[in-house]
Amino acid sequence: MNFAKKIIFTFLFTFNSYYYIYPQNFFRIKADFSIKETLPGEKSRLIMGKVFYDKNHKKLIYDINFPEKETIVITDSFMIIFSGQKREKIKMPSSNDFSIFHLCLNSNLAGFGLKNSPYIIEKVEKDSDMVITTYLPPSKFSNTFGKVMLSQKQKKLFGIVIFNVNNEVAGKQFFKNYANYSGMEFPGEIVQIIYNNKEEFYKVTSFKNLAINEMRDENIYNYSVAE
Amino acid sequence: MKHLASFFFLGLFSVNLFGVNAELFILDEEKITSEFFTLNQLENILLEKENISESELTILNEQYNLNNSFSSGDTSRHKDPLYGIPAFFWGFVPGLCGGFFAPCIYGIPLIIGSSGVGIVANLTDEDSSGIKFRDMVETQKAFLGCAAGSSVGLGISIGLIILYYPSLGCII
Repeated sequence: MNFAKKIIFTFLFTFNSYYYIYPQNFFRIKADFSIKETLPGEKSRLIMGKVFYDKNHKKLIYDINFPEKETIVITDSFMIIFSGQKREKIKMPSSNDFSIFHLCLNSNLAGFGLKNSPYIIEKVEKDSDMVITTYLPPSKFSNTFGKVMLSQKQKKLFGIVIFNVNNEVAGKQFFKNYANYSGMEFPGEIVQIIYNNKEEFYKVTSFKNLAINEMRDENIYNYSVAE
Repeated sequence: MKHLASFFFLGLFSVNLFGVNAELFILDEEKITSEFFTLNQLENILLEKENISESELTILNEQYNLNNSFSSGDTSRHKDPLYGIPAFFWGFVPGLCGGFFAPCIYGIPLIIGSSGVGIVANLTDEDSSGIKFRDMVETQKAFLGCAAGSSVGLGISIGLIILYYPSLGCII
């Protein structure tokens, strides 16, 4: 009996330890998204659809169904827009490594990836339940980029404040409504505030129905962009 | 006592500094909710309705005062062709004229045709790197138009010469 108890205990201990020694490898996200934003001239915009991202393929795919059916694929160097029979290619700097999807899959969202970037920590402060870290750009870019302040609550990214070179607030982002997906924390809503000509513009991105590491729709995660 | 008082005031000052930075991370939830009240209503309508027709989309766009363009503030993706003329024809027409009126001087069609290419390259050039890349595409279309126009113009001209001046056709 004692021997049986030892076997059961060893099995349970090993089984539970497995998840600490080998944390789950998150590599793929799919979600329903909506983007609502206010624009100059009292206009507004609503975009809805599905988003797909695989950190190994490094392609961010937006399958949009409103306001019009189109697919946008963002790779390392380009944004390719597929709309009906039309295809448009726009060159853009690499941004997928700093997308919320890539950061979450690599468990780097809490620091927004700044820890492993050329940005330097200037100071860390604590205010009640919030930890605020101030990052400075590398000296050679100090005339181009301003500082970034990052706040965390309960070890989760709460907000980012981006400054311009004149030390004025250029934009803010807030990460809300976190949910846990098999050990991966993902915000259900991101609120962005953009300051332009002394006006404030808002952008709210919402995510629902997240699926992590699903093995279906392989072709969408590795969307073909060949001409 | 003096040191204690200094420490006390230093602590107060430090707390004020923390307070100022924390204020940067205050979000006015009520303002956000009121800004997006109508868009939230529209989102709920769209979530309930699976298939929506184009006419219904148009009505919704107008009703909710939406900007239908995807890229943020940048409507160049849906920009009209230069003065309403596709880039291909900016090169084709001058190339056609050059090819038709100067069949024996082979450089002239391209020189005249390239004026259309030059117009497209310069007038569609703007200051964003993304737009510049697209302008290369437009310029390429104009260049292809120029090459096509020149060939067609040259072909028509030579054809007419052979038709009306068969003896000259032998020289060509």
